[in-house]
Amino acid sequence: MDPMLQVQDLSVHYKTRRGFVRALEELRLDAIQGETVGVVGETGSGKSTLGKAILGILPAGTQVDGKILFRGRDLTQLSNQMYRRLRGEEIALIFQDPMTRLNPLMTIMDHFVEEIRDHESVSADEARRRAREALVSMGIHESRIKNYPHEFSGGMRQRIMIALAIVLKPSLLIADEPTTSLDVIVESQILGILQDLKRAYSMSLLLITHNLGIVAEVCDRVAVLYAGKLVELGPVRDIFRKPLHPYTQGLLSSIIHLETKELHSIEGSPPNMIAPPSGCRFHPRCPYAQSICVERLPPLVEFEPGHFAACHFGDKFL
Amino acid sequence: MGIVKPAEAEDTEKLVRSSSSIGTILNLLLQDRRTLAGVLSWVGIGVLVSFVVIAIFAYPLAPYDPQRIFLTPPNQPPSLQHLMGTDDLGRDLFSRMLYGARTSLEIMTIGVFLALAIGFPIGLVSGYLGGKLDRVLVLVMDSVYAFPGLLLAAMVALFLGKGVFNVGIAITVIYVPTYFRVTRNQTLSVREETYVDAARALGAGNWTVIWSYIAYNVLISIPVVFSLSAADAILTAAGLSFLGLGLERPTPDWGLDLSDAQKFLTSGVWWSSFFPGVMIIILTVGLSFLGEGLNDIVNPLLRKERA
Amino acid sequence: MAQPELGDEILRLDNLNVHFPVKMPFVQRLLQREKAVVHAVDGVSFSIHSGEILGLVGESGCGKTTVGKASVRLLNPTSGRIFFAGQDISKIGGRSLRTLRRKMQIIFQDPHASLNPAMAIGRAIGHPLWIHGSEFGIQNLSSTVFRERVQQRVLSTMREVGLTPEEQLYDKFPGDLSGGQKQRAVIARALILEPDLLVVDEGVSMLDMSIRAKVLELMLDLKRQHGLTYLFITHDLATAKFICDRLAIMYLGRIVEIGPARDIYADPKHPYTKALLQVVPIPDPDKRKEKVLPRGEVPDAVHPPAGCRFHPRCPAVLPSCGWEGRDFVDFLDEHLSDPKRAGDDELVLGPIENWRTNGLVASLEAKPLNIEEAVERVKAVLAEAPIAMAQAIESVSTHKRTVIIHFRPPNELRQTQVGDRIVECLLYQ
Ligand SMILES: Nc1ncnc2c1ncn2[C@@H]1O[C@H](COP(=O)(O)OP(=O)(O)OP(=O)(O)O)[C@@H](O)[C@H]1O
Ligand SMILES: Nc1ncnc2c1ncn2[C@@H]1O[C@H](COP(=O)(O)OP(=O)(O)O)[C@@H](O)[C@H]1O
Ligand code: SF4
Ligand code: SF4
Ligand SMILES: [Mg+2]
Ligand SMILES: [Mg+2]
Repeated sequence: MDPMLQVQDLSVHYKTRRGFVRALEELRLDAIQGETVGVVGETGSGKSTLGKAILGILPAGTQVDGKILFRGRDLTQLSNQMYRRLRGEEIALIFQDPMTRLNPLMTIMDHFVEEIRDHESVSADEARRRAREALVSMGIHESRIKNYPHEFSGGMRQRIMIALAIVLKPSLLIADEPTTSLDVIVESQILGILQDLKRAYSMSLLLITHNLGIVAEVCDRVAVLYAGKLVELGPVRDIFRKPLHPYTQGLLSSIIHLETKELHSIEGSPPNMIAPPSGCRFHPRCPYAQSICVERLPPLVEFEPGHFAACHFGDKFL
Repeated sequence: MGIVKPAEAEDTEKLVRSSSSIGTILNLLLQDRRTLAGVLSWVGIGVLVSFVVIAIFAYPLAPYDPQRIFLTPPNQPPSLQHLMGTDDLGRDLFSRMLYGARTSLEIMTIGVFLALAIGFPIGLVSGYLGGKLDRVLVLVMDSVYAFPGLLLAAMVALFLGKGVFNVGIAITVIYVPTYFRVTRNQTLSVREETYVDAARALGAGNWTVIWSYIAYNVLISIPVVFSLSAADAILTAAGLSFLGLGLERPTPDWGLDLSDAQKFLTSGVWWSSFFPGVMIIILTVGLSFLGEGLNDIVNPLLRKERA
Repeated sequence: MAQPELGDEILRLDNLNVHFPVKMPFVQRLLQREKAVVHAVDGVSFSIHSGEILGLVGESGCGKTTVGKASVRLLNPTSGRIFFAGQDISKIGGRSLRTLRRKMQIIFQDPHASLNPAMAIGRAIGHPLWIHGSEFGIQNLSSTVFRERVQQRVLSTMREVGLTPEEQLYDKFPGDLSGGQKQRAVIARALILEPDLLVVDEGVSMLDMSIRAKVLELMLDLKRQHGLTYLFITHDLATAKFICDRLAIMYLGRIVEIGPARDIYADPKHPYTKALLQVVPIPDPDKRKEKVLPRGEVPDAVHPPAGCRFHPRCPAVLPSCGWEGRDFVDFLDEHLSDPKRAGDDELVLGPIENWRTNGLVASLEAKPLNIEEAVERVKAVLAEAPIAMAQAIESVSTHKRTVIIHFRPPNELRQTQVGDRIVECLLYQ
């Protein structure tokens, strides 16, 4: 099947007074219809930047290179107006903190009506009917649709955000840490809802998270980012069974789960993104680093069908 | 491909801006040079700095002593000798305008700084401690605040008598409640920050908490109010002089000059009213620009609404 | 394996209650006879012994933070007592409380919010020494020597918590540090006073996995080296399992299960503990499974459910667990909002606002003509209700034009000793 989303050699450099922050560097990634792709990495690795780049909401002055093809169309060439139409209708984003997206002075109903009527010319009644439907599908009773955001709990707000994101039935949903601020039970509920939705509308889901436990539970494929570079990409089973990149291995062993007997962590700290390390960006923290790692940037190589990694010694771990 | 155009920018910057300190304001001012708010602020800063320079260097800059009466007929129109003409007593208007800047800035500084020096600490303590003291203070301050500013200043000035310092005090009385309210409201929100709880958990007493953890973080909202109330203070001072409650003649003062000049307007002597008026307007508008610009820059909520 | 010998009791909560008044408009406050309060903590008792880590686990909003804050007296208890090292601290204040603060420290969830943005890191970490200078016998020193000593202490503490290179970071502001570094700074600030008790409120949940492990490791090291005692608050059972000696599971202001961590993980007793344990994500794509989540949301702490507070969501609920009038109305509401199941029930039993509840009773004043119909419908709807709720109903009767549903009173719920554990659930009573 033709991929719905193809990110090709995407670089995003934020302009700051100290220099360019190289938040993403020549990233490639694709997603086919109905697929859940997990994007994982440490804080600052560029996960949210990827989401924002796809949605075209990067701050002014940011330098963007490469292509983002959505159903064959290059999003980076889109006019502002076209982009605005696309957001919500075709691609939607769920934020980590729902309160940043909900206006405290508007009722939930107003949010929905605004979102729907911004994109489609339907009557107010029709918009309201669809708003109710979306809300009920998230398990929130329609009698609460006139309430204000602060009158809901964190989990309910996140569900409202999801309802808002899917009310126009987009074909690609980007969820940026949708459950990080929630507790385990609510997290489980939200993930369940996202799964159901994906099945019901055969949406693609880009799930951005630093929680690998979640990735194992819901994703089909996983992309691992380190310091703005894609270091590993593959089917979820391969990544968890046979991680080829030392960074992925470190991430996996640092998961704390019920069977954890011993804590592991990756030594060192994330690199300076203005002047990232030469060669393989992971080399200062990598236990297997050799001199070639300092000198040459490892290319992204397909070591197994569909399983890519960017490490000079990837075959060692096969 | 290429650079993101400003229209596509969203409130992602908000994250970068969430931490607050005076240094941040300066940073933002530098970053925002090209936005409307930035331009407003920089224009305001320019105006303020020029007037301060004029006030300080009034002596070398002014061609004549502002009190000197020329024996030519009074009310000379602007000429090369007298750039802004002379007034009804035959004094050089240009020199009087330069020295007038000194008077205005003196009054403004006394009034606004005293108001800050009184309103800020009271607002801090009242907001942090709360309780009965707070309620009484709010009541008092609110009733003063509700009073029309000029009327209140006029009453105080009438009571204290004329002079630069007394006018300064009269203006202080008007603005203490403004600083009190801003400081108190800001304190109420900073008080709820986790780091204040953390400070209390460390065993810090009330004074330590107020001084080391709250004061500085409240101070960030002051420059905005400061500029706006300074603009207002200039107007009020001019108003007082105009009403004859402000300064003693022959102090060079824009309000006083304006008041003396207006009766000659009908006979075609426009310059002696025009120049004092223009000076007042430039300085107040400059300060207002600075205040409004800072407000937009510092207050991320306002930024979002405008976008 | 035998339980290790327990040290002295450091902290004991004795039937702690913390209620917050509900903010409401003045007029409403006048009209209301009873003051509405949030029952954030309702009768919590436990103790922590020296050198022990007690985990406090529960959903968001269940009152964990409130327990933590009350334990170090950042909040005043509404009732109940708090003992710190044998001393009753529930009523003390002023200077004696501030002096005591040295010995008990709290670390909050968000390291960024816990640091004054306008204070450099080194100064922030050393500030407690300025506050408590006298107790270190260094107050009488001249101010330069004092400053010198404080700086030495700060630098060595920074090294100890791994906040290095310490000389460089000393003058940085919180905004310049990463999340993990900020959390280390917060820990350093708490440790510099050498406290006996450290309350850690979600201290690692905001940190990345890779940093989280390091911070946890640090906490364990500190426990081993300094015999530090922790109250470790979290909603993540996997983290708690790794670090805690004992575990207290909290639900809606009450502790529902407390005991040795090992036993609780091996064999959770309370249905809520079981639910929490099964939602912990398993990092293995081959072990995906359907989860049976508790239904709905955590109820409102202003009016907690009668009987066992977990009963509206409990998968093992019994008829005697506390069913009451509003449970029926909630169920009916859910039923009516699903058009497929509801049919024309709405015409007879709706709208839902017409129902009145009062404790064990739910009642509806029926429209003319169809009182019999209404009773029939109620019975039909009940057939679809959870069995336990249906069984808890004593009678569906009529009085004039009103349909009345009576529930049986619940059984009294007591804390029951089960092995080494205390469980609050009728299943074990
Ligand atoms: N200052 C306050 N005023 C009123 N209600 C409060 C206050 N602090 C907490 N509450 C309420 O008390 C209950 C318990 O709150 P608490 O913050 O202890 O929960 P928590 O378990 O720590 O949740 P989270 O995991 O979200 O931090 C909640 O219903 C909360 O809304
Ligand atoms: N608006 C911005 N200006 C400058 N740098 C930014 C901005 N937003 C993000 N960055 C930087 O870009 C990098 C990637 O950020 P982000 O995508 O937010 O990471 P993540 O989502 O993985 O936490 C980080 O180094 C971050 O500091
Ligand atoms: S390329 Fe070298 S430094 Fe990079 S991950 Fe592979 S072994 Fe480590
Ligand atoms: S008492 Fe036990 S069985 Fe009954 S509702 Fe509560 S937890 Fe469930
Ligand atoms: Mg992010
Ligand atoms: Mg909490």
